Amino acid sequence: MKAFFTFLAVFLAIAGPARPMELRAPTEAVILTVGGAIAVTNYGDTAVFDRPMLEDLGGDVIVTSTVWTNGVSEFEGIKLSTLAELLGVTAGTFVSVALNDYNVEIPVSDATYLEPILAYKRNGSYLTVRDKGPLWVIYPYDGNENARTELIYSRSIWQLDRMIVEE
Amino acid sequence: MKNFYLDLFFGSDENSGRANRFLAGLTIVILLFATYSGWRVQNEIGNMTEAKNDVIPWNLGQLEIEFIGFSQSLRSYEESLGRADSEDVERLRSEIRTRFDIFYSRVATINESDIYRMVRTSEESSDKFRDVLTFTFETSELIDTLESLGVESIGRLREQTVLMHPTVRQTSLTGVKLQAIQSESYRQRVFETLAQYWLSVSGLFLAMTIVACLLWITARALRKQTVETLAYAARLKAVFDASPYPILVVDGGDKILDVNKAAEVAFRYSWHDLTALQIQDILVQDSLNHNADDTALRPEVFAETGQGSVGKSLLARRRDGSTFQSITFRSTATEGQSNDEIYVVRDITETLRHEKELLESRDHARASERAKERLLAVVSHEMRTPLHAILGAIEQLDGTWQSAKQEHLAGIAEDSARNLLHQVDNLLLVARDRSIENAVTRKPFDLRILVEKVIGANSILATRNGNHLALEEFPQDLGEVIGDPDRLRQILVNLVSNAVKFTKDGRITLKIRKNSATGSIDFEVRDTGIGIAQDGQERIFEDFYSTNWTDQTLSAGTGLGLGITRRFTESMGGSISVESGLGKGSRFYFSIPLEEARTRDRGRKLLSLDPRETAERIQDANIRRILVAEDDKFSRSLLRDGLHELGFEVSTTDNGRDAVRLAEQSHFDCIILDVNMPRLGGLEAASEIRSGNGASCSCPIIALTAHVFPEETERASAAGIDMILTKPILRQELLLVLLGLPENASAATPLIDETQFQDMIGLYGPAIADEVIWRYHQDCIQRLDALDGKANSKAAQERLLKELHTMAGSSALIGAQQCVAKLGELETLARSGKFSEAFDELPDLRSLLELTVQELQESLGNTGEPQPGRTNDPAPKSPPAN
Repeated sequence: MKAFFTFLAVFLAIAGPARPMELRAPTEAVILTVGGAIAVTNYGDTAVFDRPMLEDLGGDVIVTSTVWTNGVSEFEGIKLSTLAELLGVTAGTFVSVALNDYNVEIPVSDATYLEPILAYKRNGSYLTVRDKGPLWVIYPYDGNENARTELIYSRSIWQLDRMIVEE
Repeated sequence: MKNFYLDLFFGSDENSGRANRFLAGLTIVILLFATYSGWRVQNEIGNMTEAKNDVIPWNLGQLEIEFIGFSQSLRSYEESLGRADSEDVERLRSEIRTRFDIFYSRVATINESDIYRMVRTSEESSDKFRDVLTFTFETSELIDTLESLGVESIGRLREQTVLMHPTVRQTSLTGVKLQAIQSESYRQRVFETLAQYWLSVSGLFLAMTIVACLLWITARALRKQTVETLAYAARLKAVFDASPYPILVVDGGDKILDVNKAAEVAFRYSWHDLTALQIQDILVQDSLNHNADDTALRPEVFAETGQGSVGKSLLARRRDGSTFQSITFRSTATEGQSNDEIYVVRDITETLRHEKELLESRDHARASERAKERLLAVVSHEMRTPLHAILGAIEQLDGTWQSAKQEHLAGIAEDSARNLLHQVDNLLLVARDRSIENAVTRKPFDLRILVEKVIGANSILATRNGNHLALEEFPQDLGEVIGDPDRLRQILVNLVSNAVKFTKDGRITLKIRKNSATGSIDFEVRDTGIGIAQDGQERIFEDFYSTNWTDQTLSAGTGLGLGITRRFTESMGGSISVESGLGKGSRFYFSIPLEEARTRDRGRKLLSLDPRETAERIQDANIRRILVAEDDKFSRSLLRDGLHELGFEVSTTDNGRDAVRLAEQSHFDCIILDVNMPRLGGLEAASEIRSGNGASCSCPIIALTAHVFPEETERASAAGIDMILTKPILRQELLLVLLGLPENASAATPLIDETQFQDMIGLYGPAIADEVIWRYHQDCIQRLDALDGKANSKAAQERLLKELHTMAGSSALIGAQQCVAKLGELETLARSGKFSEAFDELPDLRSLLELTVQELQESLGNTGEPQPGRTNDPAPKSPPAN
C-alpha cells in the first residue's frame, strides 16, 4: 500500500499537472498559515490558504475510528505529503500550532510514511471549531498499527491554525 | 576394503528409531509452544506499543484552562462594552467565539469519546459533567447570538461562568483519578504479560533442557552402538579372512563384490580380478548331470529351496580353466535396498577321494566276507559229505557186527563222526550268523513238540552215558506260541547236548514255565554233571571258549555252542545265565518272550518212529520207483542201499544231464537230485524235467544240498522242486518225506487216501494226528484267507502259486488227495497264466477243504484208542530225526 502511494506520489510528481510556481491569494477566510523553510509563498514569507484552495489541491479520504470519537468516521482532507510537495518541503518538521496554542512537531517523513491528511470534512460535513475544525490532522489509525501510538495521537492535532517548517 | 558388514548391522536398531521418533515429536511440540509463546509476547508488546488512550489528564486539564480562556475573553468583552470601542468589541467578540468553540469541542470530545466514559459515568463526576454539558449547550446558543446580547446578558453569562468554574475544575480533576486507575490497570497488564512471558520462556527452557538430555542420551547410545557394530564387523571380517573356505559376496546382479583370502587361493585369482567377474564365471553346474550348454549357474539352482543355507554341488572353475568339485552354500543378506548373496564354497575333491577310497575298501571287505562265506560253505560241504558217508557206512554195518568189540569201536566211530558233524554245523551257524543278518522269524509253533523232539534227539547219548533225561515241568495251559522255532531248537539242542555230554550216570531235567510277570517263557536245563568253575562261568558264553578238559572221553568241541546259544537268545529278546560250581552240576536258565498264539489244551505225545512198523507200511505206499542223482559216490551208494533196503526200486546217476534223460524216458514216483552236480546242477535239471514233456515231468522232486541259503530256496521253488533236504540225509528222515510226498495224478480220487491217512495215524498216534488235522485245517484256512483277493498284481499271482504249492504239500502229507488234485489243477491253471480263473475256483477249494477235514476227523474217530506203548521209546540204533 505504501509502495503504491509512493508510486502514486512519484507518478503525480512526474506526470501530473505542472506544479503552480506561484500560489494564488486566498479569497475567503484564511484557515491555514504555513511559514518557515518553504519554497513557495503567497503572503510575505508565508503560504496562506483558504478552504477552496485546499480543496483544489485534491481531496483524500481516510475511513477510520479515533480514540476521540465514537464509531467509524469518514474524514476528507488534503494529504500532508501534497502540501509538503506543494511547498517544496522535503525534510525537517512541521511545527504545528492549534487555535489554543497547543503545538506539536510532525516530521515531514510522516507525510510519506503514515500519510496523514489535514481533514476539513467529517462524514461529509465541514469541520467547525466546535467539531475540532477547521483542520484536523488525521492518521489512518485503523489501517496502520503504527498509527496507534501515543506519539501519533499527540501529533493528531485538531483546530490546526498554522504550521512552521523547520529544517 | 568394504564397509559391507557395517551396513548389514547399521540402521536397523529399533530402539534408536523409537528414540528418534520421540525426539522428533517432542521437538515439534516444543517448537509449537515456542511459537505460541513468541506470538503471545509479541502480541503483548504490540498491545503496549499501541496506545488506546490519549493523554487523559492533559486533555481534562485543558478543559479547565480552556474554560478559563473563555471566561477571561468574556470579562474582557464585558469591560470593552463599557468603553464602547466598537473596533475592539468586534475583535473581542471573535475571541469569545473562538475560546468558547475550543471549550465546546473539548466538552464534546469528553462527551463522545470512549476513553472519557468514566467521567460521564462515575458517581462523583457524572452530575458535575452533566452540569458542564448543560452549561455548554445553553451557552452555545447565547454565543451564536452574541451581537444581540446586551451588557446585562453578558454580565449574567459571566456570573454564570464564574459560578460554573468550580464544577469545571472538579471535572478536570477527575482526570487525575482516572489516570491513577488507568495506570494501575496498565501496570497489571504489563505484569500479566511479563508473567506469561516468563512462563513461556521457562517452558521453553525446560523443553530445551529435556531435548538436550535426550540428544545426549541418544548420542551416547549411538556411539555405543557404533562401537559394538564396528567390533562386530571386525569380528565378522576376521571370520571372513580366517575362513578356510572361499567366501564370495555377490550383489543382486550376480557381480562379485568381495572375496576372502581363501577364495583368492582356491580360484587362483587376485582380489581385483575376482571382483571384476560375475559369479557364473567361476561357479557352474556340474556338467556331468547337465547338458553342456546348460552349465551356467542359474538362479533356479538355489531358488528351488528358497532362502537359506542349502548346499549345492557345483563345479568351481579356476583361472587356468581347471575345475574342482564343490559344495556351495548360499544365503541372502537383505538390508534395505541391497540384496547381497553370500556364497561359501567348499572344495570336496578330497572328500570325494576319501569317499571313493572308503567305498573301495568297503567293497573289498565285502568281497572278502563273501569269499570267507563261500569258503565256509564249501568247506562245510566238503566236510559234511564225507561225514555223511562215514555215518551212512556205519549205519549200513548195523547188525553185521561179529563181535562186541567191533560193535563198540563202531559206536565210538559213530559218536565221533556225529560229534564232528555237530561241530561243523556249529561252525557253519556262527559263520552264517556273522555274515548274514539272519532275520529272526516269527511263526506259530508247538513248543511242546519242539521240546520233546530235542529230548528225543539226545536220548541216545543220554542213555549211553547212563543219564536220565526228562521233561519235568511244562505249562499245562500253554498252546501254540509265536517265535523263531529254529533258533529256539538250536538253543535247547546246545544246552541239552552239553548237559548230556558232561554228565555221567546223572540226571538232566528240563523245566519250562510261564513267567506271568514278564510275559516270557522261562527255560531251565539242569544237570548233575561236572559243573563249571566260577571263573569259567563268565566266559562260557563267548565264542571259541572251551574249558580245559582232562577227561578226553568227554571231549569238548569248538567252544562255539554256548556262544551261539547266547546270540540266539539275545536275538530273540531274551537273556541267558548259568549257576554252577565244580562238581555240583550246572543250571542253565534262559528266558525268551514268546507270545502265545492261542490256548489249546490237548494231550501230546512224543514223536517217535518205529522203523519195523514203518517198513511194513512202505509196502502199502504208492511210491515204488525212485531216481537218485548224486555225484558223490559214497553218498549215492548210501542212498541207493538205504532206499533199497526200505523196499524202493532205485535208479541212480552221477549227473543232472543223465537224470533229465532218464526222467524223460521212464516213469518215476520220486526224483532225488543233488544240487551240486557236474554237467547239470540239480536245480537246472529239475527245471528241465518240469518244463519237458517226459514220463516223469510231474513227479515229486527232492533236492539235496549241504547248505541252504534263503535265495536258494526260492530258486529251488521256481525250478519246480517240492522239497529241499539238507545233507547228510538220514534214512528215517528221507522215509518220512517220501511217505508225505504227493502222489502222482490219479484218475480215481476219493476225498481222502485212507491208506495214507491210516499210515499217518500209525506214525503219529491218534492224538497227534488230531492235532495235525486241526493244524492242517487252520493253516489252509489262513492261507486261503490271505489269498482272498483278485489276481490284479504280480505279487498276488506269485503268492497264489506259492500258497497252492504249499497247501498241495500239506494236503498230500495228510492224505487229502482230492484237495491235492484240485490244488494241482489250480496250479496248472495259474502256471498257464489263467490267474483269474484260478482265483475264481478258490471258494470251491474252500468247501472241498471243509469236506475233507470233516471226513478226516470222522475217519480218525473210527480208529479208536491210541495205540499204547509208543511214547518215550526211541529206537536205540536209529538216529533220531531232527
